[in-house]
Amino acid sequence: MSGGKKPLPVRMLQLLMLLVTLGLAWLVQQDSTLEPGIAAAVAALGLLLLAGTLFSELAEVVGLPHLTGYLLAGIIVGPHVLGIISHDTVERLGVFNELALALIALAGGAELRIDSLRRAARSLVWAHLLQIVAIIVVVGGSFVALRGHIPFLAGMGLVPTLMVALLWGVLATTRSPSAVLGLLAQLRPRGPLTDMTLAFVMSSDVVVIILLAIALAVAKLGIDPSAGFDPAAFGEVGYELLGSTALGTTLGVILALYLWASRPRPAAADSAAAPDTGTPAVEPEVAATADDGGRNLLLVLLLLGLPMSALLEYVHLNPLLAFMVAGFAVQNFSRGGERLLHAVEKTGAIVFVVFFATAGAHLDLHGFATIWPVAVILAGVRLVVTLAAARAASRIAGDAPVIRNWGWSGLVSQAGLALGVALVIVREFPDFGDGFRTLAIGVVGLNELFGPVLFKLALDRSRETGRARDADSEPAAAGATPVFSAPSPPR
Amino acid sequence: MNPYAILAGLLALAWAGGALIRPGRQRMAGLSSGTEFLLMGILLGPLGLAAVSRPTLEALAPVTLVAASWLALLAGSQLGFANRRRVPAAHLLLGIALSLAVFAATALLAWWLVPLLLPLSGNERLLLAIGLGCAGCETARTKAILGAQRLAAGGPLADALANLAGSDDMVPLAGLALLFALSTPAENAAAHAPPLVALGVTLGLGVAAGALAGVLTRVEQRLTERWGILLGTGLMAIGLSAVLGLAAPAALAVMGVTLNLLARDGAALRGMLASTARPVLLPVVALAGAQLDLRDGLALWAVAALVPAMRLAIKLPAIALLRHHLTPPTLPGPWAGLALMACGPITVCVGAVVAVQFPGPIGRLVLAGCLAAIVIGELLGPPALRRELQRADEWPDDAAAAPGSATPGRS
Repeated sequence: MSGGKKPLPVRMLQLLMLLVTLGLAWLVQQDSTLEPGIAAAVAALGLLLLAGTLFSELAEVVGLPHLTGYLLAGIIVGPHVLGIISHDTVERLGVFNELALALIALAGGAELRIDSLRRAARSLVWAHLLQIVAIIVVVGGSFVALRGHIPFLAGMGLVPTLMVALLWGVLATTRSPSAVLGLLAQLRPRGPLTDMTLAFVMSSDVVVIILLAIALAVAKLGIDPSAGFDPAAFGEVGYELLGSTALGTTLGVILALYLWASRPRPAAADSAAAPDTGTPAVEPEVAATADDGGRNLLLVLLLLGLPMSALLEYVHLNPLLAFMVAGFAVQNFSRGGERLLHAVEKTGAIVFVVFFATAGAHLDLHGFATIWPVAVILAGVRLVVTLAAARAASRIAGDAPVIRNWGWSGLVSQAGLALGVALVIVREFPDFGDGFRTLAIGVVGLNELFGPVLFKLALDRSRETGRARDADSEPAAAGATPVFSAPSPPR
Repeated sequence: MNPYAILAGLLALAWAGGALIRPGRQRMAGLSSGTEFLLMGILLGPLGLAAVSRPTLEALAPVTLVAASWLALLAGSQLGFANRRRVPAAHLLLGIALSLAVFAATALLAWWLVPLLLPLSGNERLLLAIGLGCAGCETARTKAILGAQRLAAGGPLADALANLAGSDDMVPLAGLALLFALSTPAENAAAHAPPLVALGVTLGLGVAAGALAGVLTRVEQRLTERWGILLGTGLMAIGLSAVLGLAAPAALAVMGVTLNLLARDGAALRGMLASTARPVLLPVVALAGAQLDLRDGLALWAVAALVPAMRLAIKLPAIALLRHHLTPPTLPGPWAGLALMACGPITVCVGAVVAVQFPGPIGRLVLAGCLAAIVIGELLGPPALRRELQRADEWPDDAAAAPGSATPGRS
């Protein structure tokens, strides 16, 4: 995806086309007689895709990652800047977001290998431990220190404030698997930094679920002592973890069975070879009707992804964890892992454009304007603590220098998972929930914007960028640019 | 329950059904338009087991619109091409003329017949006639029929039939644009522009989207970015057309034509778009089947008979008359016109989109006409094609026609 540099006239043309697109959409949006229904959502999805792609192209000029371009596209066409896409329309795009998240988690799980995890176990344990403790203590402490500047804490006693700070600390421990996978998709890096970051952010989902349950139980006790301790909260955590794992494993088994049943056979392989002139044996029209495994697998993923997302939502389980487990199961307990990864790769950057451009459109810039100083300080403190804790953990675990120097960089991004945690907190504590959410959106927005930039910088500096492409250039040559990082061989 | 989850379930069941009727890896009857999905849609829809209700179908209307319009984009991008060859002008004109003749004959007969069986307003009568004209005038690409049987045939007759079948996609899509342009809010809630303006905007939107995509793909060679550009412009054009009450498939077809004209590597783009055909076609076919509504009684059965009958009445004698000039020195049989009876994705697209956008007798009857043309076409077209190619010694040998083989057998 990070192709060669384009000349200035091409960039100018892309900018011109972007302006034309935005102008056309803005003109149509000005017609107040038009109904902002589902058709508007389809147009909005197209606009986000096109504008996201063009913004990411222009972001390349200044060395920014594509994700930042997608986010900027969402922010600019969203309800708070140009207003081409309304709040209602952004909400309607939720179904695409769920599907995108499902595919991202599936690919993330499929990228994890037991061998790699086993080797990195010591590093992962230390990293999680130090990150959790340092972030909850220092970021939570900063939150308490700033309480005079946080409107929704006005009039709150010290103990309740400490409880809210604890919740904020848990929020701060969340990472963004989608941002990491999005960058890996663009840069195709390979190396210890890539592997460690991937393993950390994917496993952090489980850690956050457990932490959140504990924090909610403690915070309820601290904010309203009359409520008493509710052990059912831990039962819910168990239900969520075990239920998501069980359903994810089931999905993984189904996918593995499908992959086994549709595995390429020698006859099919023979017919795929071009017979004479090097042109594809299967012409486009025939290809459209032929039962090709790759395309069908992608369709199967979509068919399973949608109902599974709906089912998981219905039974209050964690989709990210479930799809991650499914991908992990296929990769590690069947022979179809590579085919699964390759099929998800075919969704291209489209999944990431949809996910991050929609996230950008969700960012509430008006709300951010009221709390930006506090948001900037809290995001800054989190960044510093993440860096310090990562370095300390690497030193203790004896990690390679590249992880010691840059291991923190992939842990800065926050996105959907953090906002999901904020929503849970808002639901549990409606008294201060709205203010908490506004602040959370502001801080997560900052981390979402700057986190990928830092991680890209780290991957470039550590020279892991593009190694997968160099080592595994066949898919690109065949015209199928992989999106997720090519799987690393077991080391 | 989430309607998208129901759609996924519907497709999964249809897939399973399709696998059941396929012994081994070779299909029995060459269901090129995915009739198994159509039948599964009917079975699971409100007419059958009611697993998919009318409100669910309404919630899934955007899926139908987007998928059908995308198929029209594919058709537009392949205009003038058959089996990766340019269609000779004579065959292109003949294909279009045949399609126009079927359109006109069906529309005229429907104009006269249907009001005898069903009370319709003046505009409804006109729209229904245009819609039924669109229902019967497209032909499935022969490559799709052969592809469904895992076969590839070649030779003068195969090429001529492929050329004719690949030339007529634009006629029903132009008719669809006319249908939407002439509609009023009484029939199509989103319609609000005068007919000429609506036609002009449909054309302009398609050209603008095609030009945008064409120019951007000229300077972008990376596959993922190209997908972003194609999907983005396509979805934008679909959404804007629908918001403006225009025929989104027609706009997308124009976009496909423009894209093909402006693209530097049209073949690569056509290949990219063609790779999406099956995943996009399946939901449209399944949803079209589920939308079938028999409440119009005799009028519906009359329409279901009229559309395939007019296809037969025009194509059979026309090809029989022209057979001496079609593939000299090869002489096709007098029944060669039957080989062009199979309907393709555009017919499904027309039926599904009209059913979604015109929720009244127009939508119901046009859908019924389309489905009848598809089913009858599946019964007549592929066997006739096989017979004609065997007769012309252009059908691959059994050895070459082994399941899974797509080796061209061009002589």
